Amino acid sequence: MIIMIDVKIEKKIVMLEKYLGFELRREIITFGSNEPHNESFSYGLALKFYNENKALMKAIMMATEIVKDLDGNDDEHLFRGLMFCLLGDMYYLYGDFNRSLGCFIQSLKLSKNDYTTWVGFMFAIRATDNIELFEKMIFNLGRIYDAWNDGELKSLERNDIEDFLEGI
Amino acid sequence: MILREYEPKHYGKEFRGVLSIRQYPMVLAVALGVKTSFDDWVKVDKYDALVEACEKYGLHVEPDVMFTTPESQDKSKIIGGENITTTFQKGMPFDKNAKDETVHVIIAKSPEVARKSKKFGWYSVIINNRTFNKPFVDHLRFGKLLGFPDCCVDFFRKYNNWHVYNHPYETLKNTKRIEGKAIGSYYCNNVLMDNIYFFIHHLPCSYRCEATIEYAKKVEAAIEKVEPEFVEYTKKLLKSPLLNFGEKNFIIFDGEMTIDGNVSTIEYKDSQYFSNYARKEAKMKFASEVEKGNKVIVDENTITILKDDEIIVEVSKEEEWFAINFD
Repeated sequence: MIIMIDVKIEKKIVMLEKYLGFELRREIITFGSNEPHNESFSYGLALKFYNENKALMKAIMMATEIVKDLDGNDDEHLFRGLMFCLLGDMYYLYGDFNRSLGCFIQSLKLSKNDYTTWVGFMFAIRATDNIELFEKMIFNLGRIYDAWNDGELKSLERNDIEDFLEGI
Repeated sequence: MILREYEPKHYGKEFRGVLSIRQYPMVLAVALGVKTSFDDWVKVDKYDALVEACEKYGLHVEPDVMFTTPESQDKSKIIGGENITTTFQKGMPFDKNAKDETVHVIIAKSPEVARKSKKFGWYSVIINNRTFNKPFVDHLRFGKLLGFPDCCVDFFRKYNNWHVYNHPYETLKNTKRIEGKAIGSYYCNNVLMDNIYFFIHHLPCSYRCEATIEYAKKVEAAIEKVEPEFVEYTKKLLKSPLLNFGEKNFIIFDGEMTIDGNVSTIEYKDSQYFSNYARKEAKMKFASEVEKGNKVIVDENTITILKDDEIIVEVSKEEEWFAINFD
């Protein structure tokens, strides 16, 4: 995946990738591509930072700084979505599920069709004690995914998703 | 055949015919307050009977996803099928009125613990033809909620990747040998988990893991007070020598093992092979030859099966296969 990013930000990305031990430019998998979701972020983070909250928080700070810096062209916009997804996985590992959820929502606003982020989003919903909503979503994921992508679903707030699902 | 069916004599009889007997010690461990929670599968038409049985023991049941076994186990037709390491099930929302389906349940002393375990205990079923794996860290969180020791959970994190590691072999490598003692403690023998006779339901980080031993001793002591016959037979089985090929792929012997340097010799009256049903490609073709023999010699390169000191067959040994005894 080729993404053109400002040189200064690129340096920070390379440093973060070295720190994490995996690449950040993962492919955007769409729901219709018939590929499984990409577990490289969540798996890689768990391997390196499980029970290492201090080191994980350092990674979160580095990723947050990059997100703040990214605000330029379309490519940076797209990469910002990826970074929010990474932050979603980081906060999920950290155990701050509300923040994780918030990051996944931000990611999906920027990269609506990223199926991997959708899966992370659903499990963050489950982890914030909304197991019933998670179940409704996972069994109707295609419908919700399409509704978000074509604008029928206006927001990813819990009430709006529940209202949409009621109408299915 | 070494393992026999078990019929509860005193405790937990209400679960017979409701929950699989294979998980009997886990029901007891939770009911007796030693284990925080456990998960299992129950036929939906037995769900109400399970709730009733659990109430008698002060246990709460939390239903999770329901599933049915698809007609075909062809992983190539499933999105994400290449990562499936076990048999897979087709998932659907829980419906108490379903007839032929099975439901994943979490059982604990309190509703709060059951619900917390359920949050991280998502079972990877197939939904609309695709797999949905939970975040890897949830396996570790779930393990802790099921009462697994931290060291074993962390070991699982590093080594439970079937594409790269043979977990039991890594456990063996992580086991310190003690002069004059068997290789492992029977308290750390997990091979019969899901086959009725076990005290632990996790993969230990070592066959002498102190945390596992401490925990298993509590389980054993608690069950012994209410169902002593079960403990007596389980101890006998857990002290039996094994030939281990991988997770859920092993031969258990009714016999004794001696070790001389790098050579292990098992002399036995009977044996029983357990293969991993989800990994048919790993099935040991020579296991039937073991049944005919009464001695197995394992060295670094070869497994030799003998009957009355006559060689039946010699097999090349993979590095990760090992013989182990327990005390």
